[in-house]
Amino acid sequence: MFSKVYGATLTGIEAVIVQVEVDVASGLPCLELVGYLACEVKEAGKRVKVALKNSNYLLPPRRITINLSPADLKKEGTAFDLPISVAVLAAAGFLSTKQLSNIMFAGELSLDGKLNAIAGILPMICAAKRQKFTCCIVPKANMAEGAFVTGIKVLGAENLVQVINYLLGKGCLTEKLEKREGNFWLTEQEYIKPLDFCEVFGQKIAKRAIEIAVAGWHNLILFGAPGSGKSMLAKRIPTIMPQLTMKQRLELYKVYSVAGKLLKAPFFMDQRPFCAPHHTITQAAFTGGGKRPRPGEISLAVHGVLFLDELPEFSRNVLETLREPLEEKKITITRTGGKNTYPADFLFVAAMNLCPCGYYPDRSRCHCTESQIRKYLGKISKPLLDRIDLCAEVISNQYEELQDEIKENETSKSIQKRILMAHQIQRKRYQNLEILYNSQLNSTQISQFCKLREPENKFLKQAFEKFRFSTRAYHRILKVARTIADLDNKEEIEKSHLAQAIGYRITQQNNLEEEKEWIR
Amino acid sequence: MDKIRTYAWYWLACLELFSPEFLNYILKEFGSPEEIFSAKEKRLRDFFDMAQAQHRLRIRGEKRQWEERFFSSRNWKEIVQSYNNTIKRGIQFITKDDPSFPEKLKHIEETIFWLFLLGELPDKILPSIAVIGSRKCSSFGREVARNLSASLAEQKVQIISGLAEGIDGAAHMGALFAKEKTYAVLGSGIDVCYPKQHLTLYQKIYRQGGIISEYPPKSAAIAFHFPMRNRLIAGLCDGILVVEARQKSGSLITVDRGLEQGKEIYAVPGRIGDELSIGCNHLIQQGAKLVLSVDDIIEDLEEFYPKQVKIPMNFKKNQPKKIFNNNLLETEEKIVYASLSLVPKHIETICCETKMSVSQLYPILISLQFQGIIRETQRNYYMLNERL
Repeated sequence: MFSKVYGATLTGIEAVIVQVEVDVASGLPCLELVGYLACEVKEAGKRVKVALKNSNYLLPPRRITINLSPADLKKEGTAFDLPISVAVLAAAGFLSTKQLSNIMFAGELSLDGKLNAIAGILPMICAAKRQKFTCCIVPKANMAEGAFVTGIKVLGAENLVQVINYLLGKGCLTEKLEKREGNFWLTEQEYIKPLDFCEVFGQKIAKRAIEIAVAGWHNLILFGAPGSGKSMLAKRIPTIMPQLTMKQRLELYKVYSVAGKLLKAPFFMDQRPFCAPHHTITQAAFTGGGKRPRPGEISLAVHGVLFLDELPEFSRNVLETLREPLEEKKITITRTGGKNTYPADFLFVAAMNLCPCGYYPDRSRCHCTESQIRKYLGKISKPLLDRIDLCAEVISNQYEELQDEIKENETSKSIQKRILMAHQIQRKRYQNLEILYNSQLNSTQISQFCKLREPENKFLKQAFEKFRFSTRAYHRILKVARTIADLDNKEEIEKSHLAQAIGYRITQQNNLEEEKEWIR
Repeated sequence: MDKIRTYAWYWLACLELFSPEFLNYILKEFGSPEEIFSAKEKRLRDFFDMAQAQHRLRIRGEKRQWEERFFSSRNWKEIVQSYNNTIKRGIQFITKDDPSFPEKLKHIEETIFWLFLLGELPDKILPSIAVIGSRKCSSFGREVARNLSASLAEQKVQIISGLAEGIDGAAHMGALFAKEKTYAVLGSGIDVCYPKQHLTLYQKIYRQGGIISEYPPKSAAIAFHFPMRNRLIAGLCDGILVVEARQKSGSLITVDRGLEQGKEIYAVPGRIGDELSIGCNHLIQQGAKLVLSVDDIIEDLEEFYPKQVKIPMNFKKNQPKKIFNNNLLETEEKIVYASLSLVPKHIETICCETKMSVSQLYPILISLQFQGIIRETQRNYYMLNERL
């Protein structure tokens, strides 16, 4: 007898539907698996055999051949246990094959027949929906992910017997799961009392820089002494970002699903991610990879913030891998197993000190030599700095600021309001283009959308000569000025917008650079 | 005859073995450098033994080794060749017997016998001031050093310093900015730029002033060279201006040497308890002249160099020389201007003090920069651009 059941396997953050074909024929009793399988899929045969036995289904002593098609696609993961066992039972005559053509199965089996959760359920359900399947049967522990997709029935089962009974019409499976409150990135306490910008005193420069960064999706670097509040500011960036759109949310969930991060805390994420990997991170963990590729930190930060504290401490090869994702908004990892593309559309925020001890330019505390400082700053390569539009210092608060400004501090909500407006303006302006934000403008688009009036033009020319901008710096200033104008809800870029953009531009921190001007 | 003596001096300079103290001693015994060169090996060996027994000769390393080096270096042909090579590279070698040897250097206790020189020596007719201070200086110190040096240089005062990081470099830059001459005294070989990042500065000083060193070409910058260099700095100048010095600073060695030689000491005051100014404040307490503006130095120099140094007629002492009219500024600009000083201030602090928003503040700061009234010393740190 022959039967056909559908499962799925992952490629990147997408899934491909796989046919599981089983033939039971006369011959020497054995169970054979074919179809370009990874090790864990080959082992599925043994798991299935025992699990079936322990669920009281005795396999006939015949030759069972299992093929996973398309046969040229590498199949990985443990999601095939369930479809294989269902297909075997169908081929052995326990089930009718008719009803199986509309259902996608996924799940890992224990030897006692229990269904275990697997990574990457969400993309599989999405693929099933695209292929017009009407129903998915998945482990109950994975149901939270499935519940996100509408238009397809997702059923959760605890063990193999439940699945068989359901297929025989003898029982039913869990259809709905209670929506759990909470947030994936935050601790429980933080969720109850969320972070807010009003908790940060002073730091007007840095706060404004962050606001501009989020409004135009500009990458940002924060300089400052230890303890001045760089991390504190960065952690609050997601609180002023707009809500995720449905499409973004789905992409985000898929990444987390594939990374297996949704298993332990199957929360619904309503806030954008904030990823702050430690500086000892390896390249594979950062960009994604491994023998069986998984998304790395830069993909886990998709549509959120990737925050690299102590930027110069990161190893050089880790930082240099950022170049492609910052341009392309995705990362492609090629391994022997194939090529995987993960999204990497994040807001890049970095923080660093100005010298190894951290206190420069406060020379009464900093004893670093000029060459040490130069070396420290030199660790960040020029190509990486070229991809950062904004830069701001975080300086230690003055006592008065800590005292009297408690009421004046702006809340995240009101900052977010301005940002939402700026985003709306940009969306409207770029509706016919492929870009969303000012930071994505190329040089021809800059001259189209960042036109200056006569007095502003004169002002920028004067600044251009006085501060000796490079062409790249000039373009960056225009882009940032455009964002600031959008935040102020102004059609035209004004002098004050340009002045702020100039103030936030990236400059070589080195004061020796400036000294060269003296003797030029 | 003279040529031979020069070669012999050159030989001793390149040996880098003997301290000035010992050189004086050995010269007393042998008469002249060429006689040391041609003396019998036995006599020299006996002399070295005796000197060592009297603790007059202190040389690092094993005696056998350096004696070996000493005797094997007595090769006339090689010395002449090496001397000619050095001259060909544009390096001058001046001994105390030369008429061009600076008069000021002849009376120093630890005798200076020779100088290597790139460019020129300080002009005898013009006054010269040594501007020295900490290598790890604050931006305030850097600004003050640059500022004072530029103003001094504009009054035809030659600036002498040590090409080191921090204050020294800033002092040279100030003089170069004023398009006047400046002189760098090195603690390394004359053709070794230390620290490396001052290479542009080094080349500039070579063309606009001079590089001076006691050490032969290719000699490395070794720690014990620097106290010796400091006595040379002290010797070449008329007065020493200390801008920023910690409690135990190399600049204070220069000051001590200067005092021995009867030079005037000037110091820029700092705040009490400011680590970088402890040295300076101490100097003031001990009688160094407190410098508020360049006039404090000029008025002293005027006594000795009445023809060269002139204080402008309509000057009020210690008034900052405003290069613009305060009344031309707009109200908001005035507020920002009032909150700034010679100590660089971060925009965040200005924000806090003036109660203005960032978006208001940036255009004002940039406009003030366009007018040349303020300067951005570092990213978002601003200070007044006034001449002291």
